Amino acid sequence: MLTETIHTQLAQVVSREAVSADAPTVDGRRPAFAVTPRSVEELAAAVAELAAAATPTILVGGGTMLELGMPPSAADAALRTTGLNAITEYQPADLILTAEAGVTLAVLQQALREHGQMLPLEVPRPQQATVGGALAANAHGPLRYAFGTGKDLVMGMRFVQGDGTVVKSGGEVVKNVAGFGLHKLQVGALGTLGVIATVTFKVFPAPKADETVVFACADASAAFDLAYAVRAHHPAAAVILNEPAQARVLGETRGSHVLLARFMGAQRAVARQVRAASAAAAGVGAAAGEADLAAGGALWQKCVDLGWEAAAPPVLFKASAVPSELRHVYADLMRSAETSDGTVGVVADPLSGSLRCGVWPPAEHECALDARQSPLAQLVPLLQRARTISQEHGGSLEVQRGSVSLKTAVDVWGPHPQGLAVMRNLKRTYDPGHILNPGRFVGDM
Amino acid sequence: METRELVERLQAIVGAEHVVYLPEDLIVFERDASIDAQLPAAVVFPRTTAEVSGVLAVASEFKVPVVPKGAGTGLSGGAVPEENGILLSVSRMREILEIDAENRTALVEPGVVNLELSDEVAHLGLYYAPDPSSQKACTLGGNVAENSGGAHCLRYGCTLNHVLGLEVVFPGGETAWIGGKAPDAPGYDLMSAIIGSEGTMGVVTKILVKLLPLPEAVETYLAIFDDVPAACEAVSSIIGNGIIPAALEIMDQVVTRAIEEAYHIGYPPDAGGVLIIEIDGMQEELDEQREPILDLCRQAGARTIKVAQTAEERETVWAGRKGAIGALGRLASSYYIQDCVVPRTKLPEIMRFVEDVAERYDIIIANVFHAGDGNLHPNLLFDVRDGEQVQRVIAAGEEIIRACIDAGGSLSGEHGIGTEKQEYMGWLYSEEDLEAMRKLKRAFDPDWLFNPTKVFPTGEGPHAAKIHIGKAPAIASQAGHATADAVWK
Repeated sequence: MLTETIHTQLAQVVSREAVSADAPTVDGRRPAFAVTPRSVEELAAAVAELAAAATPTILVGGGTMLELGMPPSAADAALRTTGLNAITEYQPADLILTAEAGVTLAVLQQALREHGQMLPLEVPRPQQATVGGALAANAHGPLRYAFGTGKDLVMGMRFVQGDGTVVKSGGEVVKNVAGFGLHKLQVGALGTLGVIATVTFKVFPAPKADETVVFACADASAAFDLAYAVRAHHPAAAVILNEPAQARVLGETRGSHVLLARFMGAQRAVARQVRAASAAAAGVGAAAGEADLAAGGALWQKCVDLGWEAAAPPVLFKASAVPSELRHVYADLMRSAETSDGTVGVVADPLSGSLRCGVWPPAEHECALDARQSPLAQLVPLLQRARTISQEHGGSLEVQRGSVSLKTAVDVWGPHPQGLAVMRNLKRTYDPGHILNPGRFVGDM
Repeated sequence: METRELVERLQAIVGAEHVVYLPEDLIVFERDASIDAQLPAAVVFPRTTAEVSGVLAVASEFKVPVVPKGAGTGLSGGAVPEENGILLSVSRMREILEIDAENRTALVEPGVVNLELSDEVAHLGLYYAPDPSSQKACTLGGNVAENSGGAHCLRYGCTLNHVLGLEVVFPGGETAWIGGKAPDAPGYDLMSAIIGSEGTMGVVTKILVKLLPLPEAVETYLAIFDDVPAACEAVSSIIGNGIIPAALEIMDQVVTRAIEEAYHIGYPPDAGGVLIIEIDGMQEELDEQREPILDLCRQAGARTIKVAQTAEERETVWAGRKGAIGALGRLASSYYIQDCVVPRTKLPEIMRFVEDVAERYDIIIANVFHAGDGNLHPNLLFDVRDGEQVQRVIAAGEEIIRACIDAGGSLSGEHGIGTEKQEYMGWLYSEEDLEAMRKLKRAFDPDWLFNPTKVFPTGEGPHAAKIHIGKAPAIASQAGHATADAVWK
């Protein structure tokens, strides 16, 4: 009944066809309806209506990372940003691009490519993933080592606060300290501090050369050693893949572990980097191989996609550590995983200090096993131990995908961070009605 | 509130010798490098995080305003004390606590001087990238407060891009560690909110920064143009051709003449615009960039291009650039330095406009700026004793700010808002935008005690006009007074 009223109200501020029953399910909850505004004004009006009716609302971009966070405490409506799909400003010579939140990363990169430019922000499934969703989720890939993450690339933003007012923060220039960094605060906030409406990015010239080398290593330890040897030659990115991850990324297994190193820059500089890295590899007995990289970019995309494919693994988590200590987290995780029934695929970013681990059900059960019915008894201790070890090495562990029971059993975010009192103030401030993705963020925010 | 009671409480925390409160002693603390001045009730010099926490707890209890201060080189008033407030100086917190070469990080106290850190890690082949022109004097704590940039942030980014973790004491005294060597800590990104918040959200007591490997090769060129717009065209075309040098800095004739007198770099006296180009990285990268850059400069009308042949020559080029503002002291007793940013492609147009403004208002404007970022620094020169000229400077400055904002730009690229630009914030942001920013401050500082009179417009009209009416003589006495050995941005 209440829902019907909101439905009617919404249809007055957005067009009737913008309200539908087509809402996605998040952690078992399916909102009664979805609203898809087609302009920033409509988005603001819709949020204002939802706030006025105290409607708990799930925010949806491309829907590729909807499983992030704790299960929502309530979900009566879904708000989609995919109707905001214009690149509104792009001056290649200024290296600045402004896009609405619902523009997909694929569309954005295509626009940049036409002018020999790029945004060094890698996200899973860029054909679907939107700019707003990627930033709210703080999606990134191995290029973070050279280019940073969303907060380093976002120069300005417009977002809608939980009461429906639109706010601008930052600007459309590459350097700006006028006012506070509200736009940076939205990055990684999972939409709980506002709905991202438009984003201004700093973009980069595409490198003249972009080469990837695959080094097959005897074991994990050799791969981590090699990563640090290769660091001296300024890679843009480097990742280590274990066997199951190789199978998914490379389509074959090249060794116990492989290190993929990516070099970007001037032609001859990259050629020297590749030679130097290969020499370093030979020094530690690792075999350099061609990446079958007619489609080098596709290979890196597969690394970023691992675990985020539409057909989900039962569990995906991300662990971090002081970079030089990530090897210990990795080694411990592999020991724990030996007793696991499933396939444990890991992509580790040794230079940034993070790894992503997907646990797939045993192959023979792949069809039979309901991915949501993962063997809790096995996974909870594995995750808890990995979290403890990550913390001992300065990091943290976030469960990114998993069943509701698993997420609840381990708390996807882990222990509360310092500064939580300020964070709670922020949540109360920007979403006073507690309607935006309620309960999904750290500390039930 | 009795000042005496406050002082006694502060003395009990940091020791009697580390609190300054007598009026005759306070006078040297009334300023930073901006145009404003205010005496505090007391200045405290804590040594430890625990002492900072104690001071902030007392401040909250007494509801006394707090202003954190680094070296006081800031140009926008962020470190000017508040009336009846506590000035919290981090000058005793200046230890480099840890250098971790393996992870390429350094943990420092906020009073460590920017350049000291780079000097300290040079033997490891590392350095700290953000390099404000005041880097010989400014502190890393101050850099965090202002999100400071510098000539090389064109390629390497500003302070925010180089800080990995912070220990912060929030208003009230609670201490928190945010971020760290490991990435992706859960929770909201408080670090990005605090960096650049101009001391309005607490006191940073430890800073974990990223260090970069020193580039294996560096080349510096000086391209001489007939005028500044031509130099700007060269900048646009270099970047438009996909080359991001380490630095692209422009100086006009007023500046180069002043520098020439002070430093004898060898600029031609009739050079209308000088462009400093620095590229760094791998040798092959430089080899690939050199000719295109030189060609684009020639196409834009460069008369001559000098190449710094030795490290010494390169240092001379930069000594001139970083000492440029100080050298202006040879031309006028006071200057008003602006910090607007425009989209790079608008630079030639804006620089013509600045020239036009100088002519219409009959004042001298000296330009020295981070062209690659579109970050202008017009210096409006004046004699503070000439009240009518001061009025013209204020009006001219406002026209430039307005034009930059109309061109899609921003009020400040790196100096911050402080008191200097607070009244112009409404030109850039709506009342809703500003209220959202106030809410951010309140989330950290519910009692509104940290730098409470800054950043946001007071509604009292443009600040410069206020100064002229109320405090004009103060301008010449110190801050805006140009001295040849000054090391500001």
